[in-house]
Amino acid sequence: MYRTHILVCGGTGCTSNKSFKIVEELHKQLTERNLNDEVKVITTGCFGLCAKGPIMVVYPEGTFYHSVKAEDVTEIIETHVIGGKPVDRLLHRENDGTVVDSLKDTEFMKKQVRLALRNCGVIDPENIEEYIGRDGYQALAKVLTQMTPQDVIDTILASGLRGRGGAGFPTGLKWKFAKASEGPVKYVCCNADEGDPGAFMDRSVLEGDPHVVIEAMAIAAYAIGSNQGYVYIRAEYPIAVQRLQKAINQAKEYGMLGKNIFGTGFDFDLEIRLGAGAFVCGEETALMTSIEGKRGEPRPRPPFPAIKGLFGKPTILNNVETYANVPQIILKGAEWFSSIGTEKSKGTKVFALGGKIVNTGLVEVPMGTTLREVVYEIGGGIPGGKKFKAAQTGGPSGGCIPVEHLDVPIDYDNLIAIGSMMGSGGLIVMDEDNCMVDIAKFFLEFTVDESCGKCTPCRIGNKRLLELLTKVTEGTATLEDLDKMEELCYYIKANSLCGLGQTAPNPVLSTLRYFRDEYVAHVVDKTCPAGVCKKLLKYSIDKEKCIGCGMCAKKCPAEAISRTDYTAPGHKLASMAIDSEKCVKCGACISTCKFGAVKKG
Amino acid sequence: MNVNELNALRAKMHKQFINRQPANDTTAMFYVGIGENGITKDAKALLNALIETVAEKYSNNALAMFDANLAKGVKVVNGKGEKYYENATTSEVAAIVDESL
Repeated sequence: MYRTHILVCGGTGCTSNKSFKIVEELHKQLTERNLNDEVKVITTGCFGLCAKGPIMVVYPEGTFYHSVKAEDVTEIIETHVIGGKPVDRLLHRENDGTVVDSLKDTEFMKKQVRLALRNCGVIDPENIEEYIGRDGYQALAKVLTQMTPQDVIDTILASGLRGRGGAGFPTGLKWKFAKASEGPVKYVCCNADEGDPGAFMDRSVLEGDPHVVIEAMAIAAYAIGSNQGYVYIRAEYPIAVQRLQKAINQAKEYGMLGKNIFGTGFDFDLEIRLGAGAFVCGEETALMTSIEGKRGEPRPRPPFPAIKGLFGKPTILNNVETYANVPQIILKGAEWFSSIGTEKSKGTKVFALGGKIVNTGLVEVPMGTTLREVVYEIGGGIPGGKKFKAAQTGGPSGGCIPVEHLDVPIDYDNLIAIGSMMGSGGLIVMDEDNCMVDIAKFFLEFTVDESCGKCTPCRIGNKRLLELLTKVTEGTATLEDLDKMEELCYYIKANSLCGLGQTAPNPVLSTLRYFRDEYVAHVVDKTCPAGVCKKLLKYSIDKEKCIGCGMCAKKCPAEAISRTDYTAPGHKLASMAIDSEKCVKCGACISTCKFGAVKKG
Repeated sequence: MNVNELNALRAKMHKQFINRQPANDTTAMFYVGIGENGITKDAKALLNALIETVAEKYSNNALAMFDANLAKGVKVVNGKGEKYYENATTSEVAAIVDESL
């Protein structure tokens, strides 16, 4: 037993910030100082506060150190591990300067309830015994020895668990349909494709607690009558792939996978299938087509996968986060889970906070938490004191939530009512410097690029929609184009084959709903109020403020700035001026001018 | 692996998580004083004894650590309040833990 545990984040964010070097240095110094019997070093999954990584937490004190480097290890060992006092300069400070030495007491963590992420930042994800020590595989044991398949389905139904991948379909209902389908061969699949830009919830669960997915899939397999599962995981997640494969190997070694699990006669095997970089393969039928070895293209539904899915057999496909909730529901009961959240959205939701927010990272909050709490309390607000403008949820399939809806409790139905959707959990915050037309264009460019091309409404419709949107950002659109865009959006939504096409217009519709004035400014005034859309930008020099130093001209790559004949009162040199015909709008002049004489707008 | 083996492994590993969890309002905190002298052999033995004893009790709501602000002995802070055992020795640890948990 160890008196001190040093946990170092091994999630992708902190790993790319060289947290592995911290671990190496810790091992080296603890060996040199003969402390290996007293101090244990654990590389864990994501703690969540990615903005402050690399993260280290030292127990039993629970001391939270941020932005740790390998060079800090000596001081941490000498001052804290041996000396018993925390290293003050590495402690977290809130926005107001208050020192908080425990992660759980930070504003970031206080309102969070970590259910899906319960083991992330706590256990070594590459050690099955640590997972077992935290009640791992107890749910599977309970299910196989004390519950019937129908009991399992009834429990999941009663819990109110809804799919965390985006659509929010009741998980128990999906399993019920698959169980009712006939046939000796059925499949259990996990969607770990996570294609939404900025989303990394599923990645973090797989990196930090891969066994929870394995256990849940085995439970699901028992419930529906399956013996084979596949985890479809994007190849762009190498750490997650490696940890999941290691976890599968360990589970087989310990008898949690394979034949006759726990001596009950139940067999279940699990394999990984790698995605090849197509967003559309996050759609359930395209995902299954891809597993079958074909080009990832969606199929018409009905028949739904629970009836006819992978290889034509009844199949369930659930998201990583959905599965991450299952073992605890089995162990603690449906009533426990349904006591968290709102009336129609039970449990918690993991969000990946990104964009214009102080605390970028991973958060898990009860359904019903407001966006204001997420952005301002947990997220730490907007950097630089800028004004909140909107938050995009649901990624390319979602919509934006403007300031007037900051106090709407986040759940599946409320978000749809205000023109957005939960999506998988990506939450991108935007401030006054973001152009909402440009944001819509960003997401539409993504979906046009990712369209599989199978159906005309998506392949052609979204491309035409993008062309119209581009006209708006370039100042060549008309008001009639805005009406045309809106009509086209509804046509695409109603007629596309799969969710990609059906939801691609959502960012456009949502921004048209809440930020129509920005669209009108682009179209009628030919200006971009946020100063983002390049073709609508005009750089000019205030001749009264300009002292004529000429530094801007020296920096200009296009030789677009020259001296005028005008000398402002009190100045010795004549003012400079920008030739807008030559100007390439690079912004070098505005960042060079120390006198605030260059304007953009 | 059968269920009994799973449970045995769980019990064994559960002890590994002693001292690796955040404190809450009901956590019993055991502080071993090391003062300005740092960790001595006696202090180490005392802390080890506390951790072992807490683990034996299968408590998942107790933490034991050194305290540089305490000159010596063992201070316990729990739901009942605070108690100081100035001259605590390893042989008294079992009684201290029994009283505190």
